[in-house]
Amino acid sequence: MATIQKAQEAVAIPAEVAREPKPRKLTWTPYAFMLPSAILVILFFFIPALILFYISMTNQSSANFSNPDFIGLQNFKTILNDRFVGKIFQNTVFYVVMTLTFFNVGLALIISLVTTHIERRAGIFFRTIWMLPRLTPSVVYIMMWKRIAAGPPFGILNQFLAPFGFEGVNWLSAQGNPWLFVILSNGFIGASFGMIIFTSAIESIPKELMRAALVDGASILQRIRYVILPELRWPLLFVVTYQSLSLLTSFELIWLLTDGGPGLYRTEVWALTAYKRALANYFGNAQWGYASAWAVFLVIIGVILAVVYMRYFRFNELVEEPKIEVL
Amino acid sequence: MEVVLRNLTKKFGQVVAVDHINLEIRSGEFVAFLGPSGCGKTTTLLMVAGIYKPTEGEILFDGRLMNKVPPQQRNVGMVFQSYALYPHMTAFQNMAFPLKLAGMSQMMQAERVKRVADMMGIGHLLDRKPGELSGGQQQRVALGRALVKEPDLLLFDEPLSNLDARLRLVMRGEIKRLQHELGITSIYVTHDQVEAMTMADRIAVINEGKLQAFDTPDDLYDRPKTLFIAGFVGNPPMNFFTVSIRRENGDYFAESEGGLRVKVPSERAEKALAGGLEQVIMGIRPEDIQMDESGTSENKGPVFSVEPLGRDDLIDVHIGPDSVFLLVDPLKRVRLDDIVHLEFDTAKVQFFDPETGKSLLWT
Amino acid sequence: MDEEVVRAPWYHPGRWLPYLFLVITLLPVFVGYSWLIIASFSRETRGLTPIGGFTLRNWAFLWEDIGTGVDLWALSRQSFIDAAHVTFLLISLAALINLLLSGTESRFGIALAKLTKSLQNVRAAFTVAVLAFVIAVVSKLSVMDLGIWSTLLNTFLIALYMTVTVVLISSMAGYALSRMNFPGRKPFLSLTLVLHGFPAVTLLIPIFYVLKFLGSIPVLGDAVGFNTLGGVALVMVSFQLPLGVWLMKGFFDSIPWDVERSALVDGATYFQTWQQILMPMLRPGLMALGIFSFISGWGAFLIPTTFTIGTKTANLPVYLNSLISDTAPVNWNTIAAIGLFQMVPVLFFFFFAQEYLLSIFAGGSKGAS
Repeated sequence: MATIQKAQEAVAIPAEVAREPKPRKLTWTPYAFMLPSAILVILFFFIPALILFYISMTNQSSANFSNPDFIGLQNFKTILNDRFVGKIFQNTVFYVVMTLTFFNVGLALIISLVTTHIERRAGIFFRTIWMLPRLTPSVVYIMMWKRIAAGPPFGILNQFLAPFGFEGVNWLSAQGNPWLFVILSNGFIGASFGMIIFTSAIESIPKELMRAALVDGASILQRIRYVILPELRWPLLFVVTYQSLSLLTSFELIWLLTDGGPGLYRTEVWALTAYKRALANYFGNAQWGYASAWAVFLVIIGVILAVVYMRYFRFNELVEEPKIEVL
Repeated sequence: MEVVLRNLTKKFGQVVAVDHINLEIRSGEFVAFLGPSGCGKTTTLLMVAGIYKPTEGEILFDGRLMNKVPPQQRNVGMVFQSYALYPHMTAFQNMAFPLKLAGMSQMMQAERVKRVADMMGIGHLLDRKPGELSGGQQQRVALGRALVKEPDLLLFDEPLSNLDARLRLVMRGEIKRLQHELGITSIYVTHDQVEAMTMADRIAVINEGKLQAFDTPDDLYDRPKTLFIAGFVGNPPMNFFTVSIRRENGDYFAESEGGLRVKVPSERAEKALAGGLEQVIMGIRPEDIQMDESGTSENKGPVFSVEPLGRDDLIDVHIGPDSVFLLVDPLKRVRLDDIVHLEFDTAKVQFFDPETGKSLLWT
Repeated sequence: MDEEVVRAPWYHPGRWLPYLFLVITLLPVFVGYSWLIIASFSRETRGLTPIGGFTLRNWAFLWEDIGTGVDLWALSRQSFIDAAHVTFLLISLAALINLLLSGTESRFGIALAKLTKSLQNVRAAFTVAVLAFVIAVVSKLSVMDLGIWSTLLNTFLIALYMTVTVVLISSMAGYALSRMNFPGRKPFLSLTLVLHGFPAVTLLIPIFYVLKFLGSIPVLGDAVGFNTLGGVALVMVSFQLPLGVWLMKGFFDSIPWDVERSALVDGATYFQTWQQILMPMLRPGLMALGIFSFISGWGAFLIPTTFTIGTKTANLPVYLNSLISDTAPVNWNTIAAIGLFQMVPVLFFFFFAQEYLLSIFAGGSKGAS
């Protein structure tokens, strides 16, 4: 170890020479990169959330814009005593559960199973087509559904059913089936999300596993049941939590398609009520305070689900330490 | 430029990656950091480059403390294992990048890049993008980029490990030659001991974050100071036997419990005995063991395995419980379970303290 | 399962049943688009059947409103003169500053001198001139009533503004979050993830107040307040941000560390590394996020309709919806034509940039399993 010791001796340079005093600079670089996002997040997420909670406890409306009264939890009481709150709640649950079950999870799963089963390029083709509704501007998209559902002589569905002796009906009217179209229109967009996630999960199943199952003589259904579905547990859970949250708070398509009608609240959902009371009241009386109270319910559920979903999914992969250290 | 590492330590959380390393690298010297993967040699290099912040200890360039100097101001050139060329830039732009950042005029940039590129033999490839270059050419561009800014210190992070064997041989020579001509202090990280032995002036052997030895290649090979060094340096590795040393008629013999018995030079034997140890570890390199075709040697045993290495066969002969590895001519056609006699050339025999692993011959 | 497996003969149900299933489930999509195309070129439709033959009359919206007295020639001549003025002023200002600063020692002075000097080379000056011209034209057009073209311009501006801002801001934050270690990194990462899941639409009511407040700030308010394109775009940018930051962080994560280390050792600052090395390397990812943002901005309805009033700031979807929900008798064929017209860029990207879009959807849900 002679050399090492020699090195140590040589290293013993006078401390004054070696230690040049250098002021420790605050490293602001990362914060400069974060600043624009931080400003927007504060401006359009944090502050609005605070405002929302505050005005939900006032009676602010377009009638008393500048001097609202603080009324505590009065708005929430009003909501719970509302004649239609039960109906709207039921509608919301019905809408979320049906769309989620039949489209965002059910159909999405079937499409990914089928498109990964057939020839690869054909599968990609069909999955691409499925993306089209999601990319189409919502107004144009709903316009198509309106024409499909329209009553005679314009409606396309009626035209298809006519040869079977079906008498035409406006499907969005009380005599038709507005819920069917609400769920269809939402489902055709929602299905593609699950489809992409399920497909990538299925494609990442090791080929050996599938071959082994084939060699063991498993039928298609057995392979799905015993090889594929167990691998899809987490993606399924993810799609269910993520999509139930976005369905719960989405109302744009329903607003465009039925506007909560026909009649009184036939297809009205919670988020639509909150929105319409505040921002789309054609009679000029926007009840911001009362509407905010409706929205508060959604925000609370949203925060809880989002936190739960962050806890359970992929947080660990996020926090990998950077491999360069700012000096 | 002279580089000094003093008590350099790096911890990642609880894990100590580099543990109080002390090194002094002389100006113009070519030093290799040698060690198994994950031993902390690259981490040390990255601290020298300024990418990692030392947890403890100091890095000095010509006596100047560098701990808090950002990498941009250290004037080091670095060649990475993956080359780390910028894929969207041509070879020229890659090499000119450090100059451009330094604010050099475009004409000066072009001139400098051209000169270095010609020196590297890639002058005709300058308008190609990295994707259009072969591995060896990319390696040259990366080396050129490190050289073009005339750094005070060159850092190499396993630069040849992605190349095929033949190219590696060529590049080894070129890098060595360039370094020698330019006289830039260089640190070369590698896990390949042949690379380290052939290129470096001195080798720092690092294991589990600790500096094991810092010596010239010859010293490491012929005068290993620890059991770890002896076992790590040299391929195939040194044979080790636990032996006791006896004196008979003025000659010294090392005897293992399994019946191995070899005569050892008295000078070395006396040093080994000086500590008064009952048993010591004896090390003999495979190239110092021959097959005794006359069949007179008392050390004999069955062949347990034969590994053809091309030029030689590596065979494993069992003498009692001891396993002896040696190289033999493939033409001798040694087969499994043949009984072979072995002759030991003990001129370079090594002895170690079994407790501490330290050499009994060299301190 | 792209393997050379022994397949059943074509008439076996296993071969064609999947295709049949896929085609049938997609029927509403096929039917919907077929109607859109047929109707936009027909006089009248019953179901999918055109009545009275094909026509281009439905597309008259493209030119009919234009005749409202706009002299395009005068407009571009005036804009050209304005642009020339601006460019001349800028360049002379730069020259003046440069002259005043020559020989300065201060770092700020040197930086400014560099900046002004670069303005004086021909290419930079030309770029400034062209930019000034475009701004002049746009600003003139935006105060005129050009029928659908004003709306189109609004739509385009919102989408473009959104594209540029989302890509820029997300990639800055994504870089810091992916590559740097700083106090606050972990909280911001988890916040990004929570916001990614959080339904931002529930905050539309209070955002109304935020925009009203922004609108009350002098100067800035005219750009980003309530009932301005800037305000609408800013809200949409914010809503897109969690996805964008998350995606960009993923893209940055995929760049080998050695490249960035190399840039730092070569003498680049963090900003230079980001701008000159990493951003060019991420071009496909930036394209993907950009295209995605453009499409969402282009088709946006909810936010523009909520935060704008009247036709001056309306974008195409808002305009289209006002036509559909008008109480007056609706000409569905004109509406179909406008709808199809709005689909043009979407379809363009859909056919030519699929792989980018798919990488967004796949990346946005990366790590879900």
